[in-house]
This record gives sequence, structure tokens and C-alpha cells, in this order.
Amino acid sequence: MRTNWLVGGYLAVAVSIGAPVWAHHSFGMFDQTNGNEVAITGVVKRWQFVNPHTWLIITVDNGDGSLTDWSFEGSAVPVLLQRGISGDTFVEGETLTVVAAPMKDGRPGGGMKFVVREDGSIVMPNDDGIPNASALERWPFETQ
Amino acid sequence: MIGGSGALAAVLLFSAHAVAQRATVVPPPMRFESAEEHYNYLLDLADGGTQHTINSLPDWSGIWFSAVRANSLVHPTEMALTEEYAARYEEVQRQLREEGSVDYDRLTHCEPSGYPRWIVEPYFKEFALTPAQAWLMQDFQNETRRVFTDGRPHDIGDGHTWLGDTIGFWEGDRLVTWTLGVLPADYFRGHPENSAELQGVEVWQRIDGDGGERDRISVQATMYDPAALTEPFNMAADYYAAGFDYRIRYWECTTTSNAVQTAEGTTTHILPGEEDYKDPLGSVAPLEDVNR
Repeated sequence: MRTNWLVGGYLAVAVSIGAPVWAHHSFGMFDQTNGNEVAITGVVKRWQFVNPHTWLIITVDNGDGSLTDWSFEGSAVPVLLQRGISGDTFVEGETLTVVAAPMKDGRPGGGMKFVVREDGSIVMPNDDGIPNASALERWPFETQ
Repeated sequence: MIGGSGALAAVLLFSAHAVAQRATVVPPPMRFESAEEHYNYLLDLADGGTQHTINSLPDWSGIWFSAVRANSLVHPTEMALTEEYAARYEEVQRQLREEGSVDYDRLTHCEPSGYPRWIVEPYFKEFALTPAQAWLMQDFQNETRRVFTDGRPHDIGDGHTWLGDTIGFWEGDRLVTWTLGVLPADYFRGHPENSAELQGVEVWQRIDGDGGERDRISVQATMYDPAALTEPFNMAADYYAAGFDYRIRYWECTTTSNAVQTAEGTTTHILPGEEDYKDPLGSVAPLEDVNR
């Protein structure tokens, strides 16, 4: 299967919608209703392994000489530790692709579904309020 | 590049610690009209309770985690709600159905989880037991419930509080508690609300894991709330022994969360670089920065 990374753009796909279960707050700011996902490739700027929720910030080269920081929300620290994910899981300078439910208002951020490393391995720092089963089944996505 | 089943196999490596077994409700032996009646029935059954020494108390040491679905709350709720509270719950359900998420959750503006939500919040639990008091501690904003087991009666002092007032007794290795004096809150995000009249009776016990399962600390709780419930509501939650090292640190929400309420009443995030953004790692400082 051919893999095409969609950098800095949106890839519309169908996803199943699940009721948020464990989040600290509402996930209403993320576009899950319409089933849109983004797959953003960038370099890790910060991995904020903190409560109430973790955040992964990556810097994306827009291809026109400009850079954009994208911020993605993950689950809470205790939930991630149960999955073997720690504060050392993502390292500054590492290149990653984040698959996420985008912000509804179009700002550069989203709710993480999963993260793909350069070797293709997958890490799931997502909150259960951001279901990822459907996206995982279809990964790697194919572009039109 | 891996995909499909290969990707899922890799994912499983990161899910090895997960426990996904919904807690089972064990209803009380009969229907009680109030938490007081329920608690006193159990107290009589225990002949006034076990008078433990520091050496005879059960071992609940360590870190205990809640797993996904490790509590019994479900949608639609099994609670018998009064008309007023049923209407409120229906509005939350409408938001979940039509928008995929609730518009807003009170924890966004850093309210404590409070009681009864404390029971099901998925943050680490830790327990400190003495003959006179049992401290039930939660990682989430350092919320500690103090259970007075020395025979003193309830005293809510100047009024109701987030975690209320809890007394209890031991029956062997089981801790029985009675909580009252709480604030109006909710059972969890997207679940029904409770009134300040809510009172809860809980039975706590450590249960050894069978067949390679983790040990767990289990709580069976019955909620009495004449303003919100037409029948008592039974719920349960399990906390599993953590298989990893973790030290609970003090943290609070106001300096670590950038979730905010919009003018429309929904929730959004302030992102890095935007006005009023708070660096959540600002409260975790290396020594050289502390001394600066």
C-alpha cells in the first residue's frame, strides 16, 4: 500500500464517533462530528507530559520557507503510563506524523488519535474521547 | 513502513498495561431509605466494627490506577432520576448525540472532581490507613478524602464542601464509609448531576487478582439523593495495582490547563503563541531555574 503523507493539510476520512469517556474536559473543540482527520508531519518541539492532559507540539515546514507549530492534545499522565508512554517517549528534534481530529476553528492543533514514527511504528497517546480504531484500521491513508 | 495488522501489533505493545474490565455492581443486601439507615445496618452487622491496630490494618500501599471501563457508569444511565434531573441529563445526552461531545465540563475551569465524581476519575489513587483515619487520595488536583474511623459523628462545620464529610468503620479488611455534606456536582462528564442532598455509603476492599490478574481495590457505592434520584443508585469502581513506578506530585489545574470556555459556552484551547497561553511545564522547574 502506497503511503502519502499529507503535510499541513487535511485528509477527510470517515471515523466512528464515540462518547468521550475519560477526558478532563469536553472535546467539543475538535472536529469529530464530520469525521475529518489531519495527518501532520513535523519535528518535535515539546512533549508536555503533564496533567490534566499531555500535549505534543511539533514544528511543521510549510514548504514556502515558513514554519508552523502544531499542538496536539493527548490523554492524562496516569492513562498514558498504563500504556507504557512516558515523558521520554517523544524526543525534541524527532520527526513524527500525528494523526488527529483537527480544531473546528482551523487553528493548528487537534486531538491526537495516534502518532507514527519514521520507522512506521505507532504510539497511541490519545484520550479515549478521541477514538482511533477506525483511523488505525485505515492507516496508512491513501490520498486521492 | 508498516500498516494494517502490523500497525495494530505495534500498538498492542503500548497497551500491555491496560485493563479493560468494567467493574461489577454488587447491590446492598436490601433497599434502604437513606444512607444513614444503610450505614447503621452495616455497622450493626459488623457488631460496631473491627478495632484495628496499625499492624492489623490491610495493606493498601502503592499506586492504584483506574482503567478504561473500570467503573460501572454507562450511557444511558441506569439511575432513576427525578424529572428535573432527567431533563438536565437529556440535554447532555443530546449534546453527545448531535455534537459528539458535551459543550462544556466544569473541570475545564478547574473545579475539583468532588464527590461522587472522585470515585470514577481516572487519575491515580493512593491510600494511607491508620486506626483512627483512612486517607483516600487522588492524583487529580490532590483531592484527599479523610475518613474518620474513630467513632466520631459527622460534622460538616460551616457547610457543604466538594468532598463532604466522611465517617467510617472497618469490618475486618473492608472499609465502610458514609459521606454527606457535598456540593451540587456530577457523577462524571456527560453523566447526571447530583444535588447537595446526596449522601453515599461505600464498601471498600482489596481483592487479590486471580490467574495473573492484577490485585485491585474495589469500591461498591450506593448513592441516596432525594432531590435527584427517585431510587438509590448503586455503582462500583475498581483500582488496579500499578505495575510501574510512579510518585504522585502536587499539581493543580490553573497553571497546567489551557482549556477555556468560549463566549458561546463551549470549550476550546488556548494554543502556544496565543494570548494568555500558560506554559504547563512552567510549574516544573529545574534547580538552576528555581535558584535564578
